[in-house]
Amino acid sequence: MFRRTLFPLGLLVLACGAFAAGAWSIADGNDLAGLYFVAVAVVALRAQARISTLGIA
Amino acid sequence: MAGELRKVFELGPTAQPIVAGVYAWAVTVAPVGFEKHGPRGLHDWPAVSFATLALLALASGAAVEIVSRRAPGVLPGSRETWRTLALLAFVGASLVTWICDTDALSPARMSAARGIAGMLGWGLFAFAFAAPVVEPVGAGVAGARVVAGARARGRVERGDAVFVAIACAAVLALQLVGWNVQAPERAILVRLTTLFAGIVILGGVGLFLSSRHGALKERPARARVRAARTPLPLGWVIALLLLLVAGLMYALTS
Repeated sequence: MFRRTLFPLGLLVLACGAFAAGAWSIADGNDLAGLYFVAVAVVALRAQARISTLGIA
Repeated sequence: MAGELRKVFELGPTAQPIVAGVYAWAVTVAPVGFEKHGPRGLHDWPAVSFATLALLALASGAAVEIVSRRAPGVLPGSRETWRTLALLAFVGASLVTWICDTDALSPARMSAARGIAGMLGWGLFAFAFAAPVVEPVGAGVAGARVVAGARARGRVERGDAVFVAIACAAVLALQLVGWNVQAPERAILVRLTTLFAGIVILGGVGLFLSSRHGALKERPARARVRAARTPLPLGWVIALLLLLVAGLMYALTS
């Protein structure tokens, strides 16, 4: 339950929030913070993909 | 009544690119065709005619599809031929509209944001046009649905629909960010960021949903022992934690 649902779901929510924060930062002119948040979102999605596909046929 | 309406709006092989075509037409062809010129505000009538013809070509494609679905054999030729004709007529009429008023596509008269939106619209249209024809299967028809490429699941679980709905709402909410940005370059960057975010989030949700229903692979004993030692693929998780800690430290120290 934790590994297949809650953890990937949490990472997805984290990615959504990080993307929103990144877009907001870029819109406000803070490119460095925007880049950071987008990087956090991409890494969170990669982690979610790895965990979701672990051991799945 | 609802069933009839659903049949009309059911996406067939022509209607799929028509949705993207209407968007591309509204962003790139209609402003060129229906724009007024000169101090007297006159229309360029050839451009108006061909812009209208382009929209009519799309509408004819949808009409032919509905007619051929309701009464097969009434129209000569295959549905694929009519689909290709309608979509090529749309592209041709759009092209002639642009030729009628070439200045309308210059950077001075077309904003960068509209240019990007038009590019996305035509890209989606090309993608839908080139996609394999997927015919809807009527109720009660026995046999498998033949689809080229990846095969969709036959049934959507109720929980999955909720996840997809929430993800779509989040992606749409992301598109609301940054519409009041003044600098065009920054506005485009924000739009590209939110579009990229929407695409990868929907991809991530799709992966998450498919993994919920995936069967666990039967692995050899050695691989099972190795998996037991490392319960999670920690590489990306550690990278994420390091990023979060670095961001937190930066926020606290600056």
